[in-house]
Parts: sequence; C-alpha cells; structure tokens
Amino acid sequence: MSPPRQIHLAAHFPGVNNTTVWSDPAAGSHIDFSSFEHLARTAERAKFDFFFLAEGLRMREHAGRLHELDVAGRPDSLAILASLAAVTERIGLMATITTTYHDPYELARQLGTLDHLSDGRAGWNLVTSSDPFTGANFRRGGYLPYDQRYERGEQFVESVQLLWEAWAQNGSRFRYDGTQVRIAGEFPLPPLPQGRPAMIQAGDSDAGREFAARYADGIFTRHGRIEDGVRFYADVKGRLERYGRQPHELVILPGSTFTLGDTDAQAHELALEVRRAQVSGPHAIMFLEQLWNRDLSSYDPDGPLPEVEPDLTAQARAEGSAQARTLQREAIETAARWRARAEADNLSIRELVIEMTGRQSFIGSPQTVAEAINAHVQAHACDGFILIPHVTPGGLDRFADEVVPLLQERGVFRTDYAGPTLRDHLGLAGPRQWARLQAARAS
Amino acid sequence: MTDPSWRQLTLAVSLSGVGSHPAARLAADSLTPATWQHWTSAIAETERGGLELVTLADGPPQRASGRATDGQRNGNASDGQRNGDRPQHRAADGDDAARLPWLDPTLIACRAAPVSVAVGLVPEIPTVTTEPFLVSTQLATLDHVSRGRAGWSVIVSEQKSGGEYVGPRSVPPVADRYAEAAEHIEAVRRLWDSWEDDAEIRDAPANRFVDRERLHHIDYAGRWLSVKGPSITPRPPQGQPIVAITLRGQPSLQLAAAHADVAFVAAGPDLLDTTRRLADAVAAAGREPEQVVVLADLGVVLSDDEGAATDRAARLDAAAPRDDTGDPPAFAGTPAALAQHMLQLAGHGVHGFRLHPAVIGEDLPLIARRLTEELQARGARHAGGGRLLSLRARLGLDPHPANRYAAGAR
Repeated sequence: MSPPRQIHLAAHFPGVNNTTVWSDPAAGSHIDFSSFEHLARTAERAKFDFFFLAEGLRMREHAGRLHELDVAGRPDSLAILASLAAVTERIGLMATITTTYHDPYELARQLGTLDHLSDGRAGWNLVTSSDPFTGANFRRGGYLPYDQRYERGEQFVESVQLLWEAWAQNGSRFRYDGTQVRIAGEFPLPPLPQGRPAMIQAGDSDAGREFAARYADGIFTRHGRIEDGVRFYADVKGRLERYGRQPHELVILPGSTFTLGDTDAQAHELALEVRRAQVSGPHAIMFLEQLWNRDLSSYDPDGPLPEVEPDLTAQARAEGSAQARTLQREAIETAARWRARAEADNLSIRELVIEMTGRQSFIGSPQTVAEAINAHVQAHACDGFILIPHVTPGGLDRFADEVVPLLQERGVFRTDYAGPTLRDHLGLAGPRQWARLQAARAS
Repeated sequence: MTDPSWRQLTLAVSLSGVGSHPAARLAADSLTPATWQHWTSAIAETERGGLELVTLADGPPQRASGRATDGQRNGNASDGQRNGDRPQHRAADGDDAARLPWLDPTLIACRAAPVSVAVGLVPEIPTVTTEPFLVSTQLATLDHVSRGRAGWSVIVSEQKSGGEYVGPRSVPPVADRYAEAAEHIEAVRRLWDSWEDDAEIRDAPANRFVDRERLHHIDYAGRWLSVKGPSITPRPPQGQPIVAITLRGQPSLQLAAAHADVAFVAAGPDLLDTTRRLADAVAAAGREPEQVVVLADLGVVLSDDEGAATDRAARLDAAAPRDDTGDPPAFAGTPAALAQHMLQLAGHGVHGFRLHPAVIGEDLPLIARRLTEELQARGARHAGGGRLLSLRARLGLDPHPANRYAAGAR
C-alpha cells in the first residue's frame, strides 16, 4: 500500500469582503502589523506551507459610491510580507499580484528582493485582469482588452523569469521584446535562494488552466464538491504532459472557509450565526443588486424577491469585486435558480442570500473537519487548501490547535518543515533541479 | 530653515551597497548587500548611535540620477556635462566580478522596520519608472509597520535610458523629468490624505465599517499621469511620511522648495550660496522656512588616528578613484576632527548632516559610537534614549499635518 498523500495548507489573511466578520467582538485591526504577525506566526506554528494575501488595487464601489459595509483598507502586499520575513523563519510568504497593473522589472526586483530577504520564502499568486475601474489608479488606465490579458500574462512571466536568470546567465543584461512587454537593461539581483519563487495562478477558465499547466507551480481555485474537484484535478494535471511536466509539479489548492464547534451540531449552529453576520440586511440587498443590476434599495431584505428580472443592459453597479463580476456573467441563469429556491423554501431575500452565498466549505468538530479535508486530498480532488478564517487575527487559532494535530496523527500533514524554502514546502524542485529541468526542456 | 538650531545637529546616514566609496566593494564581500543581515546590522548600528534617519540607496543604472559635474550638483553649472549613462553598479572597467547586488530599498526598509524602534527609514525610490499608487501604498505600509518612521528619498532619473525598463510604456523626455516628479509627488501625497484619520468607524449597528464621507477620490489629472483614488491603505501614522530631495541643479532646487520636507545639499564650497538660494525658493513657493530641514551631504573616511584615516582614504582613492563630479565632498580624519568640521559648516544654513560612510563596515561604527560622543561632548547632540517619536517629530516638522480633505482643513 502506498503511503497516504500529504496535505498542503496555507493561511489567507481575511479579505475586504463580507466573509470577514468585523463586528465579531474578537475582531481586531486590519492594518496594524500585530494582526499580520499573529496570523503568520499561528500558521507557522501549525507548519503551514504559506501565508497568503489577496490583492485589490481600487477601493470597492457599489452604485457609484464607496462601499461601507465590509472591511476596507489593507497594506501593500510585498511591503507587509517583507516585514513579516523579520518575525517568521520558515513559512512561505505569498502575494497576489496582477500582471496588468504592475511592471515586470519592478515586480521581478521586488519579489526577488523578498526572496533574498526571507531566505527563499517568497511566493506569487499571479492573476490576470482587465479592469478599467482599477486601471484608473494607474498610469496606463484601462489599457488592456479582456482578450489580451493572458497574452500580457505570458509575456510578463517569461520576462520576469528572464530577469531572475540574468545575473548568472548573461552578466546581468537582459532584453525581452514582446507585444505587451518590451524591456532591456541590467538586473541587479544575484540568483535567488529559490532560483525562481513559487508561483501559483488564480483562474479556473480554460485559458487559465492552460496557462497554469504551462507556467505555474500551483492553482488557486474555487472550492467545490469532491466529484467536481476530481474532474478539475484530472483535467489540469492531464495538461501538464504536453509541457514536459510531472503531475507533482503543480499543486491544486482551493480557497476554503471553515467553522469549528465542539460537536458537529454546535458547529452548524455557529456556522449559521456566522453567515447571518456575514449577510446583514443591507448586504442581502447589495448582493441582489449585483445580480439583478438594478436599484433595489426600496425592497425589504426580510420580504420576498423582486418581481422584476435582472437588467443586462445597464452599467454594472458593483466595481472592484471579483464576486460581483462572476455574478454578472451568469446573471439570468443564476437569478432563475435563486427564484426557484426562494419559492421552494419560502425564503426572504436575506434568507435566500444566506443560503446561496458564502456557505462554509467545512463545518463540524475538529474530527469531522480533519476527515473531510483529508478525504478531498486522498480522493485527488485537490492537494490541499488555502484556508480563509472569518475573524482577524485569531480566526486560525483553533484550527492550528485542534485540527492540525489530528491531520498529523493520521500521517497526512508534516510535523515539521523538511526544508527552508517555500518550494521545499510545496514539494517542488529546488533551484538546481529546476535549472536542470529547464535545460532538459530547452534541448 | 532660518536660524537653524546648530547646537542640536540632526544626523543621518546614507547606506549604499557596502559603502559610498567606489572602492568599498574591493574592501568587502561584494555580495553581502544581497543578505538581510547586512542591512539589519547596519540599521541596528545607527540606532545604537541615536541617529535620526538612514537613507537606503538604490543603485541600478536606470534609477541613478545621472552623475552631475562639480558645481552643477548644487545648481550652478550648465547642463550637458553629465557623466553619461555608465551603470553605477559596475566597476569603471566593466569587471563583472565586481558587480554589486542592489536589493529593492523599500523592501529592505520594511524588513528592518519590525526589528528597529527609533531610526527613520527612508528608501530611495525613482519617479519615472514607478507607479504613484504603489509608491504611496508601500510607503504608507512602511509607516504603519514602523509606527511613523517612513520617508521617501525621491530619485529623478536624468538619464535617457529610463524608458527601456518599462516598455512599451514611454517615459517623459529628460527635460520634463522634474515636472513629472512634481506630479508623482503630488499624487502620492494626495493618496496619503485620501483616508481621513478617523475614516474607519466600525459602526456595527449601522453595518458601516468605514464612513465614505471621510474617504476621498483624489481625482489627480496632470500632464504626465492621473490617479483616481482613494488609496487602499489607511492614512499613515505620520499623516504625511517625509519627502526628501537631493539638490543637484536648479530644477531639483525648485522641486525641493515646493515639495520637500528634507533637502540634501552637498557640503562643498558653495554650500552657503545653495542654502540661501533654497531659502529664497522656499519663500517664493509660499512655504514657511521651518517646513524644510536642510542636511549637508558629506562622505567620510574615519579612524581614531589621523594618519591612519588619511592613509585609508588614499588607499581607497588609489584603488578606485572617487567620482568628484557626483560623490559628495569627502572628509578623512578622526571623529573629533569631523565633529569640529561639522560645527564649522553648521553655520552655513544647515540643520544637520547626512554622512556617507566610505566603507559601511569600518566607518559606520565610528559614526554611531565615536562621532556621536564627540558631538555630545561639544553640546551639539543630546545623549540617546528618551521618548520614541515619529520621524517628523524628531526632525522638528509638524508631527501630524492636517489632512487636505478633512472638513476642518477646507
């Protein structure tokens, strides 16, 4: 019998959406360094692979006004990770960074610097975007058409990798001539501790999967049922061969939420409480407005769904929210599904939104949650999870203290780090092996 | 900056690679600047000496400001005598073995912030190749983590080559770089004010985390760049982290007069003339003299023995000649003699000095330990310790400037 598959775990600092319950009495600051230090050290104590930060480069707006309901305000990701490198020793430090509004030279220099400053713990969750709303904060504005976002992404990755190799390969000099990236000069960093920082990719589309299979060390995906996960897993890992890669060279990590209780029954009660806190009356109306794309402010969140149908013609009401963009793309089918559910169970607007959005991925006693997490990984539905606590900064404490030991007892999660770098934690080739692989592929 | 209080000299240090002298890389392991230990130990040394701030130099060629000629550095000479586009992280003979690594200075400062408590952290950041939005949020983050010790040493590249680092985006022609820098600084400063101090209200009964009336689109639209805002990062603890500008010609003097909290001026023969012209320009820009702290730049080779110091300086100069056109004027001698020299120059319209240790490993400990003692003995520095203050407060600047968007400020 082969040994059980090993689980990878990461800690997502709570983000600026309604998953994060800031009204909880235990909720702390979202900007004080102490909050970031607390979560990173908790995750390191639990031997997690990495600490993870999302990115949002424009404050969210709804119906033309700045959004007030959810947590707002965050540090720059690379800056706060450089600070965290000073108060942690082993855990990986991963930032989400869009290839659209960053420049390859600056990013290669800063991410490479983070790798040096952390002795090989830097990570990059690459996203491609095409979002003029965010572009308004940047020099080039909304310059990139939607269908060119992966063209930019590919050239960005290739040029960044070229820069990281410039010192050793070419006396620091580099030149990259693409349609989206056209740079030349000298790159001032010696080879990075990881050779190349671990890079994962967020995006479930066909183009995103292909991009990941070709370039990425991992995928940050959406959580779903085991059988959906198994299909996704087989599809993505099946694409690796055409790029000369082995299945273990790409890890699949869904973003997941959890609620723990002493018993399963207590956990389900708590989970419902959390969802009620996540979806207030104003939240429910806002979600519905995102889906319907209409002003629904006159509707009672405790009353029935509006009679009118979604408006597909008007300008989107919600800006700067990935969730809203997804909702809008699938508006008509989703609205029909929501209406059917509300009628079947006689749900108010708020009850419906609580049911249809943000249900926790794992709910139960530590035993139940540990088993469910392990079941996903052993079934090849994924390689592990990026966990998103709903309270800052203590939301991972109980998971670290009560779930992780159960996984360790089962022999499916490390009891200590095997190596110093993030690539080591993820089971990826180190710099020397990686250089050999590159050379073999090139020939 | 009228009547500088010379009895209490402000003291800053420039940390540049392994040292400011071109031969420093020959005297030390040239790869050490790629290690965090090099930076945290140097910054710990400055804290031991109670210095007000460190600037963290940025070296790569596209960021350098174009080394200027002697008089031109302080704005007296004409353009056109610049020392070309020679990359500064290479030895003059192009020897690859002497390549120096240049980590990103902003992230070095962030790495140092949690393990230091008092010293100001002021990275050099260029204007033409960076995004104001990211510069603003990174420095605001540094200010949050360091509890009010962040600053920005603005680098305006005068080299033609800057554009090739950001293609296909184009950069302004050299003649417009200072105009663009003014826009960049304005956008960054507005973003710092785009959150009022009390914008986060956490009003749970009303389901409101922030008050949108206290968040502001900056709607900056200049000739070279535009930024919508607001920032994603709450207002930094200092309100406005300090902005420092090195004088190297008339455009930089005008930029400093209009925008700088700190101006660095070469401690050369025309020091007094330059500080007077800066004072006039500050007044012409409608600002008060006390809004600009003037620090004189001075390179130092130190030893407790006079002869040993001059010998070391001669050996360094022989190994790799100093760039007299761009490097700050240099002093070689004992810490006591340096203290005397500084007190003599202090009458020339400066509040203090930014010293450039020729070799960090050798000269920084003598600055932090011996020079500070000599200055204290002469009544020119207080002994270290005391209350922890923000960088603005330690420099005698308004410790928390009013927010331009707050109701009371309008």
